[in-house]
Amino acid sequence: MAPSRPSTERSDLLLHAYLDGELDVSTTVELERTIASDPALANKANNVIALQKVLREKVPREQLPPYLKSRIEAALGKQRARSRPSWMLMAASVVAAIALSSMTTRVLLQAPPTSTPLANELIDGHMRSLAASQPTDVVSSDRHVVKPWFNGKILQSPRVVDLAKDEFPLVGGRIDVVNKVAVPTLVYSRRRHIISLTAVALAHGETVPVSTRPANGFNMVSWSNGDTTYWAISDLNENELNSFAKLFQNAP
Amino acid sequence: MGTQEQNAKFAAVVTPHLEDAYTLARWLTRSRADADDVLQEACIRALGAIEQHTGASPRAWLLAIVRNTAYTWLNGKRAAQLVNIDDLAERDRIQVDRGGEQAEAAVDPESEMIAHAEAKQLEALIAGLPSEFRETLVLRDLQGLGYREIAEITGSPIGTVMSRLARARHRLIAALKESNS
Repeated sequence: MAPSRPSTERSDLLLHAYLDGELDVSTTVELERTIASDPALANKANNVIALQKVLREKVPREQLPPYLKSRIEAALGKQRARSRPSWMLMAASVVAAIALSSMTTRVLLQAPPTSTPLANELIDGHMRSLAASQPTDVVSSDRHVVKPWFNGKILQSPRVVDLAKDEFPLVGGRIDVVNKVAVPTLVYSRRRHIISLTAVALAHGETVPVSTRPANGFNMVSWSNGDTTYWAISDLNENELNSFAKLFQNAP
Repeated sequence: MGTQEQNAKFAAVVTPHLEDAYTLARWLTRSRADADDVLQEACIRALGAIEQHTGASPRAWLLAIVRNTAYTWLNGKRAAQLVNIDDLAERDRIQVDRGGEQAEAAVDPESEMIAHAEAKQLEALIAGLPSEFRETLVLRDLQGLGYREIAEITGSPIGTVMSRLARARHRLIAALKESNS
């Protein structure tokens, strides 16, 4: 018997890839030829095949113990609660109370599915502000006070217009969180009604015409001017909220 | 931010592969208690990152998280017993070549012997492998992942995966031969 050639490191590596079915066709053919002519390599192949088989058959599968499953579920539950800001929990409880009035079901069915999460977050912000002792973080009817207040707190300082002569006096401003982004919200009033006006920067410069819809017992008006979408939310009636939106849009 | 959406995605992406994740955690940490903690931590990380998961091989995605969590865990607990692969290369190569010299083509008692190895012995041998070899062998031979997936999980080139796998297997084969001779 002719002494077998010492197998090269290359054919040794390829042997494993061959046995794992990871080789392309031409290399497979080449290696099969090498194995046929090299008893040492053939012997290695047999050893590897035997090892793979015994590992597959004898090493027991890991089962996930039931106690671990419940431990992880508990840890994830805690994590979810932690990642939600407390005011959202508060808003959620207000939503839950309102849901009893069957209004929510109707609104969820009416609202276009894509805009629902954003609208809900805005409503949450509006309701939180109503539940708080002050609906605003900065209280001023002077737009030259409100606008600079946003500077340094958020990236975009909103357009602030004075609508006092139209009987929509400015009350102040606050910062809401929409989609994990801090956004400016201006607060106006009409008689005893509060209007939250949130400005959300748009990624794509589309223009959306004014649209109105009821949501959770509030009225909501939104429009867009190309780079910013405005959302006005209030328990004010639809007509007055619409005229507020038009006044704001047309203000110099 | 849809918590519900997040939960649904977690259930679809992570939950089906928890057993695989646990298996990897167990082999990397070599301890059930540590594997428990690593899996829990990995699940929390997976939940936090679930929105970034784009859909390509959920199993590989999760296993990569488990691997990173396990090594962070081990580094925090005690210095991971990393062995320089270059130091091993020579010894492994010698073992491989010796295996070649002893080759007998016709009858194959070696393969017979390997086939009769016991579970306990196999587990001890796998646990004794350096971590780079161990993770590659476990992912391939116990969990059945492809080379490309293993490369992705371990962050190594495919060539490295191939050589680690070859060396890991040769070490086991050599140890089985030695123990039975």
